[in-house]
Amino acid sequence: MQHWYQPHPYGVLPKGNAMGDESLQLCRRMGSLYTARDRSEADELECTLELVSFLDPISACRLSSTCSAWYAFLHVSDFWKRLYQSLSPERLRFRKDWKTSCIHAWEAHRIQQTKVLLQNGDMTTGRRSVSARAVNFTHRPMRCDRPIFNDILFQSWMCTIMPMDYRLIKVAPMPRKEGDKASSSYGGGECSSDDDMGAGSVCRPRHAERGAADAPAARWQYKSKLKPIPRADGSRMSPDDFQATYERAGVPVILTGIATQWPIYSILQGSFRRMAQPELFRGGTQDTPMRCEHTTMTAAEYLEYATTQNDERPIYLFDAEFGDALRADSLFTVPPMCAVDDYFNVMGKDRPKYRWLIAGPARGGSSFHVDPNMTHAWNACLTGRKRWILFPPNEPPPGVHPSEDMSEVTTPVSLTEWLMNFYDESVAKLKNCGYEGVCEEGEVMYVPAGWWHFVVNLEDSVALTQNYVSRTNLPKVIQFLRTMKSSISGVDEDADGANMQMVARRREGFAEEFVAAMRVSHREITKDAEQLLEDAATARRNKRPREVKVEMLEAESDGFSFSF
Amino acid sequence: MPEEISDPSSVDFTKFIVLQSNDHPNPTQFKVSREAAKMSGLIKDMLEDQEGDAIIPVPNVTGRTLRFALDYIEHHHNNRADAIEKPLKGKIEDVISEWDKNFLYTHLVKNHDEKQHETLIDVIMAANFLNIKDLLDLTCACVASMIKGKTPEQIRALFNIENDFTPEEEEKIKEENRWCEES
Repeated sequence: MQHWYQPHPYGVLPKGNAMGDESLQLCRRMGSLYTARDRSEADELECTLELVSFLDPISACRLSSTCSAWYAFLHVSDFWKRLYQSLSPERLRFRKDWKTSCIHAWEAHRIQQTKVLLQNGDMTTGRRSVSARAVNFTHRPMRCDRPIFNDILFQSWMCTIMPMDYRLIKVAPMPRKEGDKASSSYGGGECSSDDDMGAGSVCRPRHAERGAADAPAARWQYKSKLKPIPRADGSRMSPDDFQATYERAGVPVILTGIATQWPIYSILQGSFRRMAQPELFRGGTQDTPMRCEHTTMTAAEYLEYATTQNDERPIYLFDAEFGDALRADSLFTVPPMCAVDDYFNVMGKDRPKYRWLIAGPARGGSSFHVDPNMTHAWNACLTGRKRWILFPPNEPPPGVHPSEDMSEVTTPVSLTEWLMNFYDESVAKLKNCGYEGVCEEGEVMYVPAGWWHFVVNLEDSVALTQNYVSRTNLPKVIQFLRTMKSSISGVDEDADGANMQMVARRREGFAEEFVAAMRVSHREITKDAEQLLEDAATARRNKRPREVKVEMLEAESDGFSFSF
Repeated sequence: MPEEISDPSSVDFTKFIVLQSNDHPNPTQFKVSREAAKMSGLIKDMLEDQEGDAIIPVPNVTGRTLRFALDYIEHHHNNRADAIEKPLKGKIEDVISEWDKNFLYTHLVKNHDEKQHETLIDVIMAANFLNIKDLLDLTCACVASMIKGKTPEQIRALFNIENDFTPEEEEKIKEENRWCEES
């Protein structure tokens, strides 16, 4: 047995453990509500989730009291998470677990209704008695005598407890830093207050990278079977050197000595828990809801969620408007080598979305993708550690299937699932061109334009990231904007109530809008880029690509190519 | 009602398609307008991928069940039902049309007798398989409505669920669910 294995909190076991007894399978123990005869386990679960998708919390609690199968299914599947989204689609107030969160939201809704009914009545008594039901509610996971057999639910648990350093090779423990703040950087992730400690009631996995406050987990230095991501001292590097060595050559790099100088780095003191610190915010903006995937939370609410949840795929805070709430301009300065051009700047406030505040718990992250609009990117890890895996353009690794126009990528939803099922194959196939490494607190990861990358937090982490255009990728960006119009990103296409017609119009004219602004601000460089694109197009038409000197893109072995 | 046919060669495939049930050895064939059939996400995707004659076998779904799904589609493809709010508040009868009420409580829940819900579950499976979202919503909301207001004991009786908890387990759950019963 692996050292990290822990039994499922609701007693789910792999299907094989039922020794072929079909009557023990989860969905066959649900009485006449069994919906998925002769279909795969995945279809069965999905159909059963649909079946219960209109239940309110009280009906669901009663259904879960009927038998061990319904009890386990309703607690182990995404049922409560989905119900919460129906109850409160735009705002998440997470309390202990999804079930408790739903019951609080449901009760809040009832109070609201009671208020309306009692408009002129005695409000105080009504309010107290109603909300007490929710306040007194505590969920304690239970393993029934009769186990549950289901491969998918079991695998999902494995993905929730498996350490995220899977397949990295431990080299040595990290040297302790001067005045190490172990208690703040690893500690506390477990429970937000003493009463959450309820002996064994919380099923939060206690794996290595998230040690309990009293016993900080060892931090390891790792090596990988892929090429190590090079490290360089960013404080001594000229922008010219950077562009030549990394941007043009298409080499990822971790830059040290930059983010450690930023005020935001000092304010966070290496602690994820300080992300709601008032010094980070403009006056009175701490309660601004921030974008967290499909929902929103304030920084304090997100902190509560991130440090309490036990999701297989934790919700990520990924906010492009953080400049409105945070004192962005005095918290950090763009690394000089990335700031030197930053050509989308010429569009002023009409530039596509370009910078994000990112926060996420351990095991949160992004599955393989290529950054939008053929931009370069930097990503500064401010607290915690991030594991990065990168593959060159046109080399999506096994398990990752981009659509023809690159607007969509099909890949396992869970990061752990990709690691478990496709990491070894990717190493075998791409070990000569892929990179892997851990970006430590205070370091900045540079991702070259067009590169496939996968990021996962080894620890709770706060980061800042920005996408940019420089002279080295300008031709590729213009080409992308002209030919891949429907994939142009950052133009409010995912805003609430986005008007798709307006988005389409914006995308249609976007390349020329950018090029026109570039011609005004950077005449020569734009002219060169356009000339280069024209020559490349002529060459392609004449099918003599190698005879054209494509100087700006010489680093690409196969000349100027777009394979998407 | 959906038109059952015996000779697909007479069908005008520019306007119609034929869906074939999985009954062996004698599958049922229904003629459906292309327009209506697109209410099924599955069929819509298939029609986009292929041209010409379309006799589409539907695995997993019997002729009896398919007839109900097509009945719904033909009635609603030009006349979409209002979305039902999740979670269901109150009883389903209060939020659906007369036609939908008849549709649900004539055959799916036979003679409005909740105990006779076998067809309802079959239609849920078919709606899920064919990806007919509105029909899936209607039928699943119907299940929610049947569960609403019932005690665990009543739910077990209605859906033939075997209580396999130990007395201790049952006590623990009862304790946790106490909040449902307080008002």
